[in-house]
Amino acid sequence: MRHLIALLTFFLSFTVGSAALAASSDAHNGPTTTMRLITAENGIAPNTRYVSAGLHIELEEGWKAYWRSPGEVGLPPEIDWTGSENLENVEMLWPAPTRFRAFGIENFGYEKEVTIPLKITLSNPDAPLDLNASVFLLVCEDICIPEEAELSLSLPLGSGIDSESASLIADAAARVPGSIDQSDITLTNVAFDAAGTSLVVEAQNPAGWISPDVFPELGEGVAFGAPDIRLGDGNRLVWASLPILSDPVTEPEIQAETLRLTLTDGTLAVDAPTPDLSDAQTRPPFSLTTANAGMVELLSIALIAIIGGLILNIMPCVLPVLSIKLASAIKAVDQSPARVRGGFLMSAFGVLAFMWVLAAGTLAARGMGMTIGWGLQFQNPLFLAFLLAIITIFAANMLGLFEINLPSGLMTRLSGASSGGGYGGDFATGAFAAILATPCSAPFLGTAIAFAMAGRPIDIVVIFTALGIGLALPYLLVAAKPGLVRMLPKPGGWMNGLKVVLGALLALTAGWLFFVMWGVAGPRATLLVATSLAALIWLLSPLGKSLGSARSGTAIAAALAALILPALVKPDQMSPTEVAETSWAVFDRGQIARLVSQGDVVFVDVTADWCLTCKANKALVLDRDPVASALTQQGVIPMRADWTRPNDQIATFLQDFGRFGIPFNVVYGPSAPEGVPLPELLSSDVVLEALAEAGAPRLASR
Amino acid sequence: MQIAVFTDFNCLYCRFLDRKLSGLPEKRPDDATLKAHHLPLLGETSLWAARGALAARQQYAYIAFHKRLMSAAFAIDPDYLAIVARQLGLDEEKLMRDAFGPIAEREIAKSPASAAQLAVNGTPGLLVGRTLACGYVSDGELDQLIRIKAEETSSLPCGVFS
Repeated sequence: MRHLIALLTFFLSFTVGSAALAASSDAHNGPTTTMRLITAENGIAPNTRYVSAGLHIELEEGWKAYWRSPGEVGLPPEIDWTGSENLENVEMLWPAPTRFRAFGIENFGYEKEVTIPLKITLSNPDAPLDLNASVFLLVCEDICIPEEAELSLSLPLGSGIDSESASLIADAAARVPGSIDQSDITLTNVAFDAAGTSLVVEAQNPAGWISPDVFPELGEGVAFGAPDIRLGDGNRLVWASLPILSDPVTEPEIQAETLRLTLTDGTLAVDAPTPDLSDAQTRPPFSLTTANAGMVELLSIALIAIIGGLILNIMPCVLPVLSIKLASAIKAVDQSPARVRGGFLMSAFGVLAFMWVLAAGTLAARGMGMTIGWGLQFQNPLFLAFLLAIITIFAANMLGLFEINLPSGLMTRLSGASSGGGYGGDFATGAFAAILATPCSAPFLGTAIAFAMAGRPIDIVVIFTALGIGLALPYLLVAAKPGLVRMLPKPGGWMNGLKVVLGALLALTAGWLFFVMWGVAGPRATLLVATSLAALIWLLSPLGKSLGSARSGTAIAAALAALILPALVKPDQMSPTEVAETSWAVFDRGQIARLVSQGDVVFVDVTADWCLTCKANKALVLDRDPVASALTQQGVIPMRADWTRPNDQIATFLQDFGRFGIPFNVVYGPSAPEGVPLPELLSSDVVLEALAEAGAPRLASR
Repeated sequence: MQIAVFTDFNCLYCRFLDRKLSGLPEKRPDDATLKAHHLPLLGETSLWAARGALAARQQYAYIAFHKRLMSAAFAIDPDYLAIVARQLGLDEEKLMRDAFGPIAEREIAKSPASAAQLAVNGTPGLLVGRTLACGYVSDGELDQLIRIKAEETSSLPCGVFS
């Protein structure tokens, strides 16, 4: 590296001089390009070892020439020196490139004007130099044209510096990346992921980054897609993640040790020819999405969260629980306004209590570096078993399979506030409404959740509380006006019919939870839980009375079995039928850039068995015409990411879009290589418009 | 209607133009014939790709081979050609032989001459009837070229490519 520094000093030393002779070849004037060979020296002084020369290229507007690593397509300039005299060696030095993008393909090169410095070593230090360069230069606009030029330049014995040529060469030499070791910049993380699908580069610059870019080189057969570049630590940290595009035909092994990095920022450029590799990739700086939100922003997002929470009440997730509350409210007609108010306030408190548990859980999970997101507890078999047990008991009770008379009175409290005593049932109803709301998403909710999850602890607490307030608003309304309850019909014989309807609704919920559990924990665990719960119901029902005194003990055993068994059974492999059912491809992030570079449009659907909003999108939009046929047409690749079970690849993908919940849909295409994210609730128009927008190839220069 | 395109596997806009053009014979089965001329301007890997595609034509697998190479975003070398040939179920040895056979050599020698004759100086270059379009053309421009062709009374210059 000392070698290069010496060389730079060598180039930079020519700043002023006399311009007696023009040290330049005749210019080659092509239709798109003007080329000249220039030298800083006007002549060869005695005992000269090196001459600094340059290939000066001027391009018409819109035309590009390529860097030594041109990207997926393109070709670097080539020079053949046959016919030169007194020439021992020529070293081409490459100024830092600019990134170009067309049809989603990344290219690196130069536009307008560039000088490629040439370090020339003489064979004889006391003889004239004859340069004879056959230049082959590929330039592209929306057409690629090879420019061929014969450039000759003779330097007789003599001295003097051509100031114009010298300053052109010196400027270009300053753009040639210097060694990173000689700069203030330090690489803090360079790592490939285990699957070889991405490279993360993290570097510190004490002076701060402005608009950094990263150009990795990894030999032929491996290219890099568009980088995701983020700044952190008061702009002193740059974090870049680049997808690796391996050739799908040859599938070359990644030769990590051949990695070479070039980092640029404005006119600054450094070269790391052999960076030290780390085992693990660092996470992107969180400060990107919410850099310490101000009070006003926090409050406005909190308002959005309240609206989101309120809308959640009419999403299908919460309806079964509302029905429980409704049933108990009808019975409460005869109660005193104070008791009604207390009951509804307690429900609202139940909602909030669960939201706080969720906030605490999220903070703890984030502290431990675990994946966080909305509704992720539904990926946990134990949580599902617990929820299933309670919903099943509720449903069985509603359907009249048993009356709860357990000595502890626990079940009585859970099943409703029919008695005038405790508020436990009201509290539980509220908490349940909140628990069941989490697998649903609603308009506004995603914005609020994303803000909270990426923010400070205080953001999480405030936003989750606001969500809870929104969700509890209907209860709070009744609490404010207990008289509203009297508007409900009087209890009577029809109540039994209503109970059956509500029980059926709950049974439906239980059925759905079984389906979710099937996907999360596999058939064995699900069947074990189902059997245990069936046994429990049977024991609680009049049929189980024959067991006598052993009854409660057996019932507790069955309940425990239902809760603990799922943890002991290893989940089965996902059934492949899920994927084979339609023309959906399995999510593979590395494939996206590849497909887009071939002109395809990729529609990504992140979904999960437990995500009811996803199911609604699927049934109402994605599986229906016109969207269904738009997704199966030529050149459109629908890709599905199933987040039913925990999956780091999907979690990282969501986080890169600043999302922490699903449904999430994004469309990639030649015109939108970075992807166009869609709203949570899809409509045909939104999907079709995004597909059209992403697909239409946009020409960079027309 | 004869459409000729001068193309190179390593040229970005060629890929997208070829893709667009390959749909034409299907859309207009009665009157559109498409001929691709390989003009490997972008270095050695372009030349390898052109040789491979021309050799594949002798096993009636030109279109599949061409399509495969066009989506390969990486430097194409003999190993690459062999793998693609294997994957498409072609006779690998014959393909590698034909890549330097007389037919491939003749085509590769002829393309630059034809291009020079028509003043096609780069890729992609598109000839629809008697109208030459240099560079990438949009959907609208392609339609326009086809309209112009329909109004022509004679289709003389395409004799070069028969």
